[in-house]
Amino acid sequence: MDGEQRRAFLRHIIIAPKGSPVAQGGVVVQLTGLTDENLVEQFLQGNKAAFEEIVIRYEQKVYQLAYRLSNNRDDASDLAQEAFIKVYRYLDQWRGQAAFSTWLYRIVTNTFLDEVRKRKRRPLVAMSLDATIPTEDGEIIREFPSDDADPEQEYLQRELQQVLQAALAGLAPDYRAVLTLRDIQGHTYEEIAEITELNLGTVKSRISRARAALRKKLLETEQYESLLRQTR
Amino acid sequence: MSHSYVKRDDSNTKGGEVMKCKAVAELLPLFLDTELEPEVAAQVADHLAICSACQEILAEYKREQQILQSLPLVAPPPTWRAELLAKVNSNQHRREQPVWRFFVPRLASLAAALLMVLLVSNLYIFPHYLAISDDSQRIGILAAPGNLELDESPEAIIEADPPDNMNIMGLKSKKEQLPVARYGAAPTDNLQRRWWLWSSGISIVIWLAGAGYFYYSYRRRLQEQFD
Repeated sequence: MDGEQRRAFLRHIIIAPKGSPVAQGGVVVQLTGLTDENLVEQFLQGNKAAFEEIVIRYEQKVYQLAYRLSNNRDDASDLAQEAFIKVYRYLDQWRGQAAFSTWLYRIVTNTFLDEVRKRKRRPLVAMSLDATIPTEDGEIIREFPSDDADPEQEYLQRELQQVLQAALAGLAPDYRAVLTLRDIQGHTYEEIAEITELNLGTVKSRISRARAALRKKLLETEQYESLLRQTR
Repeated sequence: MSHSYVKRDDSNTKGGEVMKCKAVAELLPLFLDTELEPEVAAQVADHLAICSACQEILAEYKREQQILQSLPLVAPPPTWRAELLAKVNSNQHRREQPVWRFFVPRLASLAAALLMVLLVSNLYIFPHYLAISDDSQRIGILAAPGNLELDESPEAIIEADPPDNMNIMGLKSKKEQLPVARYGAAPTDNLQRRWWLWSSGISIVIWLAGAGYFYYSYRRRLQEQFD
């Protein structure tokens, strides 16, 4: 077994702290097969490995959300880590009223909005939040294949994505949050209402207004129309 | 979604009531997500069937949504998870409050409270700071029962010197000893000086005791955090 395999294998084994129910029962639990609720239960019983499993399960989505919200990698890394650290600290306060994932995304969004508010008070730091989006192709793991393999079309498509991303970054944080949750993360309106702790009516009107604002932003971008015409 | 959104346009009657473009435009984002109530959605669809401008807007919304959905997935940097787990395990995540953030406001407010007590009690114990220097105050003192002589005009009262037998908190008010009534300045006599020394000494002791208590509670809080 090489290192990676070994670590993957060890993840399945609980290292039970002394005195924990797991240690007393001498049970070895396979973490990968557990539901979120059971994982949380494991964690609360003192099995710290359960936390790593939670991270592995959700890091992709959480990071993606953090990245789309904060628009740059450094902030996204910090935001996502901070969110998981909050999860670690406050996991005992999750009582299962909402799905675990909902609760997790709520922490990410709230952490982001808090951060925005904090930075508004100290505007010097706000630079990085509104900075233009860096294109780091190296770490992008998956690209949706475009319909035609035409490299020029692919290039235009990427340009178009960047224009949209810039427009999204220019929206108010509240709008950016709901649009990201809706279109990029693909949540339903009901889920968004739970994540943002707003009622459904508010979510609906906020998404409509966010869409309208995004469209207005795009119409102001000259590039956009020409790009659209070329990609059609 | 309430029906008040839906404004009807009776002038444009093509098979009954058709919504106005402006109302429809507001509903399009929700129409795109099929989040409208069926009846409203049907009305929007009716309008779309005859209005190319609104079709165009809907197409734009659709296009934007498609592009957003097609944005590439972004993965966390390779070392990200290890960093996170290290932070969690090393208890670094207990965001450490700077020590001054804990102590400075507490000690400052304690000091301010003690200072207030000192100043107010000083005025209370040595009221000649307040009592004099103002004519109305002087009248007040002199016009106390027993001193008031009705046939004297107020001016005469103001001009009058304080009586020799006036007594404030045990201080004999002989004119030489207590020229307060005339000049409005308090003498720093021995009694007051001693009072200031004692009371500020006691205040400092209280402040130090408070500092000790805050230090103790700070340590206990740290302890709780790391348990």
